[in-house]
Amino acid sequence: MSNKIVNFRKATKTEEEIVRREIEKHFGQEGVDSLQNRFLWIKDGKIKEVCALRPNVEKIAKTISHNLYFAGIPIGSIKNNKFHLEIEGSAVIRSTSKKVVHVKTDQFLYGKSIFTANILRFDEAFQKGDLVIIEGRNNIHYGVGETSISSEELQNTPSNTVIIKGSKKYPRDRGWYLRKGN
Amino acid sequence: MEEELNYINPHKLGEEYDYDAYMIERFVEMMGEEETSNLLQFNETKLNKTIRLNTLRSSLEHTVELLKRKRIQFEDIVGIPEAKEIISSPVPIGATPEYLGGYYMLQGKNSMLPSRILDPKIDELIGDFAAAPGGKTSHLAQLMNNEGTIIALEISANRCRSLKSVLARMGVENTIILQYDTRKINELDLMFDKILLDAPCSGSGVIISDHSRKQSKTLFDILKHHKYQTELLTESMRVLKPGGELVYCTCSLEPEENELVITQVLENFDCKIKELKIEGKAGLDKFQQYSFHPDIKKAKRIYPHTSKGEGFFIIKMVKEQ
Repeated sequence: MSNKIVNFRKATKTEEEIVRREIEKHFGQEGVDSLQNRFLWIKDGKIKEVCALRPNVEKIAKTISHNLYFAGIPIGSIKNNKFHLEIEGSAVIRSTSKKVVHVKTDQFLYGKSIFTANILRFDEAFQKGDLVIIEGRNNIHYGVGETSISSEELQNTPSNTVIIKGSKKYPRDRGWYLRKGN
Repeated sequence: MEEELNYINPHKLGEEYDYDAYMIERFVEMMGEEETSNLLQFNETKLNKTIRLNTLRSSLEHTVELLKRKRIQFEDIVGIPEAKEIISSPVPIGATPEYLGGYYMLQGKNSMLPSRILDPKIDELIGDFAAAPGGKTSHLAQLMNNEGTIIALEISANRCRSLKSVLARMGVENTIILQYDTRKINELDLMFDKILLDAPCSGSGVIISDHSRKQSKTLFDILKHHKYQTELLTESMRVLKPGGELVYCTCSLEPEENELVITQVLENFDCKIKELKIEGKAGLDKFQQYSFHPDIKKAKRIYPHTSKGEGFFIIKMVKEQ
């Protein structure tokens, strides 16, 4: 067994604020509300992994002082004091947020970008640079992506324009579970 | 799968199918010549894939509807409503958006039995010792509706990583993963309502999916597993609350890894063995030089050729108050 100590701890107030501020920026108070009754914890490392714990899980996690590898659900990471929302974080936020873009293609699941022609509809207006939840056919959650234009500009944009950028750097699409999950 | 298995001398079959000779002798002693012949022939066939629908993501009805829309043909598995056997699929079943979304996972049908037999409740503290790759852990979480708490132990860092990934994909929120040696679980000061110990084993029940097992393990390996399994079960028993329940299982058919482990551990703990209401043969009362605990017949030996699935040994014990 590896003797490397994994530091898994409750998030500081500052870290909580970084996470909440970023979620509020993109998904408003509704998005922040999705984390109600969950406590944020951090797994330290090159990047800080952020996860959300339910109260009963946190209560027991607090009593375990060593070898704690992970608990709850991973929602994103903090790097250079910025929170990066990831797959399961966006699934949690989906329970309270309608900022969803529905797509016709599975390409996003391969870490690829979404073009104008691939967009079926969106449930709520978005601005350039916003994070939006991506759903495929039958409302299946695909992940989260960053928009390149606003929803207002969408109608006048050529069909081959990138609207939502794929990410190979962060786990933002569910295809990541096949590419890197094991 | 339904084709008739004809009796052929198992020793001849063993040679033909490249088994180590000692394995055939042991199988014959465990189940007789005819059953051994059936087992060896069955191990040369291919199992249909089975999936477990994940109600943490979507209702059974909704996922069934999504699978039908994809023209995936499947059948129900008796006694496990969330289990489906895939008959045919025009798409790769392990790479659909529904799979990636955690609506279902690939899981052997018999490996869904231990979690169901443990019967975890929403307010309980559950131990899942030797948890990776996470099929049974996520099944426990599903049966608990993400309530209560599961402590999942896994000694290997790499396997902890894949365990975390599976649990995240399946939307499991009630689990704490510890990279930890179960043999030291006593040091954590936790007492569990229920424990699932799916012990690492020699895997002689899953030769159908790993033909290398016909030659890859010696009797010495089986005895090494026995020692480790006995240590794991002993330490698990220590941290089980009085009145608590423990399910021990392996995908090995070897009595040293099953009946002998239980018999030796029960010498030190006051436990009752519970009757299991599932299909399968009774635990063995003796094997070679060994005689086993008189109640071991309440355990189940699930043979691949009779269950049309992976081989398993399963037993449920209750620690006395």
